[in-house]
Amino acid sequence: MKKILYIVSLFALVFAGCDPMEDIYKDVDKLSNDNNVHSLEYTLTADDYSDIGGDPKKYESFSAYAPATDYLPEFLDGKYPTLDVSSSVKVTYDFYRGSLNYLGDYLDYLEVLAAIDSYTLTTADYDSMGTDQGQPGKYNNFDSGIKASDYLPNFLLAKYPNAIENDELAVTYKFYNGSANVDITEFWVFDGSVWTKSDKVAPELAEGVTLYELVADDYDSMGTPGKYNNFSSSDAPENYLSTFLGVKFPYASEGDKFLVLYKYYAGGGVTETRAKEYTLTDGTWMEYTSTVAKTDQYLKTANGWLFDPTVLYTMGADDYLMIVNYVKDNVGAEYLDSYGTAEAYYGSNSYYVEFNIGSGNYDASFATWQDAVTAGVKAYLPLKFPEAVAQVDGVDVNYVITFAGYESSMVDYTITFKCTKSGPNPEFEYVEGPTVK
Amino acid sequence: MKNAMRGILTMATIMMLSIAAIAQTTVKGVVVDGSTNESLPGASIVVAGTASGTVSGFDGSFTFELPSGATKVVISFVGFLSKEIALKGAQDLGTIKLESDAVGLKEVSVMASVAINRQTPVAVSTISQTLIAEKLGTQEFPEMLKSTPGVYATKAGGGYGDSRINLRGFESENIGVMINGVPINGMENGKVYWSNWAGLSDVTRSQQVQRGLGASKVATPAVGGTINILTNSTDAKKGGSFAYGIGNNGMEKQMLTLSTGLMDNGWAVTFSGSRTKGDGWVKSTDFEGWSYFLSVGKQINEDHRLTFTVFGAPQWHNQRYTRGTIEDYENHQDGARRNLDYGFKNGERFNTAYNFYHKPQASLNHYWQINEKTNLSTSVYASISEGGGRGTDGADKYWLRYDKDGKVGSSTRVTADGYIDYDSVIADNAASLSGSRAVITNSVNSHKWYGLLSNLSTDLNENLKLSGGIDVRYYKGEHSSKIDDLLGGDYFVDVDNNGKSKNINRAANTKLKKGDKIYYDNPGEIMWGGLFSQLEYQKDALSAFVSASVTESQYRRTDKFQYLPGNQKTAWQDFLGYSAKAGANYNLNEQHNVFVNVGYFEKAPFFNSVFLNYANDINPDAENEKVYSAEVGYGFRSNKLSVNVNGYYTKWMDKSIATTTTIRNEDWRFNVLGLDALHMGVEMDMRYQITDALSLTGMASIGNWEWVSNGTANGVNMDNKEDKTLETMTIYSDGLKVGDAAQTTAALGLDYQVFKNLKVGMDYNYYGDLYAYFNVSDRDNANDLSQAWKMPDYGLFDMNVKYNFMIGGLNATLYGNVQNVFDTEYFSDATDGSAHDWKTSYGFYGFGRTASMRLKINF
Repeated sequence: MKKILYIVSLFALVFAGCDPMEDIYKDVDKLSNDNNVHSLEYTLTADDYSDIGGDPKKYESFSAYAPATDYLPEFLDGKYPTLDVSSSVKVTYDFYRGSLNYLGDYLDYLEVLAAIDSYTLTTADYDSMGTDQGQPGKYNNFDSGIKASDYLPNFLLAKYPNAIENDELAVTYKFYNGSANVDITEFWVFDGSVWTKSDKVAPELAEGVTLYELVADDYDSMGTPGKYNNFSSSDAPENYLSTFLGVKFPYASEGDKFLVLYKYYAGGGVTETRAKEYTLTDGTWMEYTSTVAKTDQYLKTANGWLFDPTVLYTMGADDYLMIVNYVKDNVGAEYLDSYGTAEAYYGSNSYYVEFNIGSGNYDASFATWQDAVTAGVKAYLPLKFPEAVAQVDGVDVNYVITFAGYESSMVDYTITFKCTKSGPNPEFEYVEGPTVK
Repeated sequence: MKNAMRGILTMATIMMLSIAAIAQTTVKGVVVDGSTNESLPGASIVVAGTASGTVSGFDGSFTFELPSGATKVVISFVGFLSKEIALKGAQDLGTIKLESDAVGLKEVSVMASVAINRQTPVAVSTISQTLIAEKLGTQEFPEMLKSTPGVYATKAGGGYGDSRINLRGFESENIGVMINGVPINGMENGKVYWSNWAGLSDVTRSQQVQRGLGASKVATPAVGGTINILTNSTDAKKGGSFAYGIGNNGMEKQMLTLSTGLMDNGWAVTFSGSRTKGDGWVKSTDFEGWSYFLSVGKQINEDHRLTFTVFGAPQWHNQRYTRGTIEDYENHQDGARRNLDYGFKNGERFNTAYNFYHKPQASLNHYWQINEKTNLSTSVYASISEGGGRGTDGADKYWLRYDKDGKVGSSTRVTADGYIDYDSVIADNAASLSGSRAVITNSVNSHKWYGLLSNLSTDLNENLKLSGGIDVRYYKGEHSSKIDDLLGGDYFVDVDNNGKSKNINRAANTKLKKGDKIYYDNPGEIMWGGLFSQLEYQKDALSAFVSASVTESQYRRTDKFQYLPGNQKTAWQDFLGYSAKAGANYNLNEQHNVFVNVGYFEKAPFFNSVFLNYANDINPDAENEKVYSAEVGYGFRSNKLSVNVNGYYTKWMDKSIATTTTIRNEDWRFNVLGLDALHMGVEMDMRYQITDALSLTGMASIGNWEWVSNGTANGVNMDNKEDKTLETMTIYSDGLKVGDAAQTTAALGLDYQVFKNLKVGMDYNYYGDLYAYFNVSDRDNANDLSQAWKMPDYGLFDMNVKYNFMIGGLNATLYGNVQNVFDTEYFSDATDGSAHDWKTSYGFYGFGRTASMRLKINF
């Protein structure tokens, strides 16, 4: 019996203590328990602004005068006291960027315009200035030789015999510029004895903005606003204008801006001229708003929360397609598949939303798929981020791009580039990756 | 009241009392199996009417001192009819032959090519019915072989019947499995689904594993080996038994066996039935299985005997399919029991992985002793199976699926608790204007299989025996997918991404309901004709054989979805395979024997390697796989010790692998050529009777299984046959270790008869050099030549106890088993990850401690 007990004990001693997974479990613990590192997203609420206090509390937003970087580090410290170093939070907040200055100026100008009488010259008016060769009545217009400034003072004196000092008038006449007649509006002032052209001019619109004033047909095309050819509180312009612009300017391109002038019935028999700026954004005409949502990333460091200008972006089907099209235009259309959704130079595939990193799916001139993808992403970044900036608040801006690589299975990778020259035509420099996400 | 347990009881009695026996006269002899002349270790030799006697040693021999007045001895052994021999004082009884207690077993053994120790020149281990009863516990059938060399058996996902076995590193499609001599490997893919055979352990008489090419005359896919299962047949004696068992996680089992015995009119009938149910150790893997077994034997006359056997095991079980990373298991509230494949649908637990199957197999065996020298054994069999598994389909089927490594995919819908979120899917399906976006399907995998196996055997002279026969089969498998649950939608539209109907014979906008076939419907047919022959030579200490077989297989695929009527069937595709093997065993003396065998065979590629791309596309490069194998062995038998040592060398050439890759958005098929694997190793097993009451068993197996070449392939553009672009692929496999099975295994076991009625046993099994599974065709990156993740070695302890007692005049036995006594945590199955480490690899934990108890009453 003793013999058996010995054998059994030996068995137990030799084998029972073994835990095959021991080493792995230690590593698992290292991975998860020791640090509380997370990548979070957070959108500030009204209560948050209230907690932050100061101007942000007053306006429920940040602005250039009360920048988010001044307030958010402290706020995040209170919100996430237990997150460990290298955690990150993408904070979405409201940012007041102010109203459009030029818009105010233009509306002021319109108001002035509305107070001034206007007159448009008729055929009879030109004829009254003489119909011979070299006189306005010959072609019923002015031109560079037959100057309006030579005729209008006398014409206006005759036309408005009862004018008094400081009377102002907007005069519209036809001007032949060598190829066509155009309407020109000028402001003339009466000083008690003579009419002179004033120096009043329409304020300049912001660069790239096209002015469009709604006409009666436009209101009609919108349905109910067509009844009185204006908008009102019950037919608010914001309910119509975006759609209207889409219909009116179907071939506008991304980023086009329109200043739309329209009539607005303000009540009490008063109809005002008002204006809104619209920008074509992702295929939709978006109204300019003074407060916009902004998202910044903050990084937990040993010195607390720091604003991180790093751009984190995960590529979608459109992004892979940008590379496919880039290859088509710049490398060679023969690399594209028959559907035009995948290319075999870098391996970008928008149908499967991936880089195909199996050998044979990228050009043989690349030694490895990593080289192919790195080159592909480098070509893509300036297309995707034309307005990239190299530094924010003195911090270099990194672009961490997440992409899917398919070999035998789909694996997410990240690759990091640094913007070395701000846009337009930004430049990017490879930093590291691709590494498995 | 004779029964199978009686031998054990008698044996135990003797062990206790033999010490006290008074020496008078010496009697000795050797007990052998009357049909094979194989020695029978453990047979009991008792003086009639007393309790004095002994037990035969490993070589079948016994010697003991007769008490005075003894006139006869009774020799008995489990599975054999007892024999009484009258005594005339001291004498050598010589060779004592015991005859089987089962009707027709001998003939089945011959047909099944059951190997005989010291005669058949193959490496073999045999598990007896007694051992199965004692050790099985909560284990699955293949796990009974885990203590034999070269075997790696796991429960895989952990569902009922989902276990798997690898032999010498080869997976189930390369292991021949035969039940009563009838091959049961799937006709299309060679796989064996043990859940089809759940309940088999209840009626198994012996389970023999022949490693390497084996002794089978019939062509089998045995690269790794052959598992030869003999079921009960009709018992020669009347009686029966009832058993009731309980186990961990609500396991409950009832079983009943009844036998008429061989009646005077020549008939004998045996029936067994069982029911097993439980919740499963893994979460949501509950199951219910039934089994039935009926054997009817009729001795027509001296020369003709008929046996009809039908066996079936209908079952359903919830499964675990999705594998996971270690970190994710560790961070989950269910730990190693985590199952990602279920959620709650309308408040009811519901698995996306679920299997139901019923595969009754009936056979009629006819044995005809034509004359003294010649006999003919014929088996006509049929198997008609029905069942399948649950799947998911639809444009948004990924709502219901995790990524393959158990991560939540970009589309996966899960609840906060990590369950599959059926409710959100049901809501979205209900709101969809185009019918259900994701549905539950049943993948139907039913088949009909008819076969005839006939073997004529004749003695040419005293030493030479010639046998030969035919093996004819017809098989038709149904493969389709049917809607099982629309998950909230009113209908389902079966279209591809481009809006085209998946069934071109059905309008794309057809509104499909539950029970309608979707996605695919492609029956496969196989006709198989085989001829085999074997010449055996036996004289004195030498036995040798030469055998050859030739097999013609024909495949035909029908596709009712992708082709128009009249164009749905392919032509029959012919493949010719053949095998040749030879071997010899030489018994140096009564203790030592040596053997050698060598063989070569070519086997037809599997159905799925012939028809590519899930369509009627015929693989132009489908090649026969070629296998060369050689083996040497040595055996030692003495009264107290038996040892077997053998070494093997198996080279597998042109392993058939076809793989599909996307290039420029089009599917390219690569048929990889030139992939060779070399499996070699040394195996040892031993038994040592330390004292009369204490025995030790041991096993060690050291393998070196490697890919030994790189593969190359030229691609075919499956989407554009006109495309003549040359696309090549290289598989960098040279030097990679074969994964998915432990290359080093060892086992140590102790059995101790504590006292007359009580026996305890403990077993330790060790698994090392286990590499994660990988699909070799994925290793096409020249810069990645790393070995697959080497999983942690592990060792497990099992204990068992058996207690015999009388209850109301009936013999009863209580069995108790504990598997994984120390609740060791270990990873049993893994798929290699991208970084070949534990972080990226994903798989299953093996079971923790499980236990069961069973009471069996014989009558």
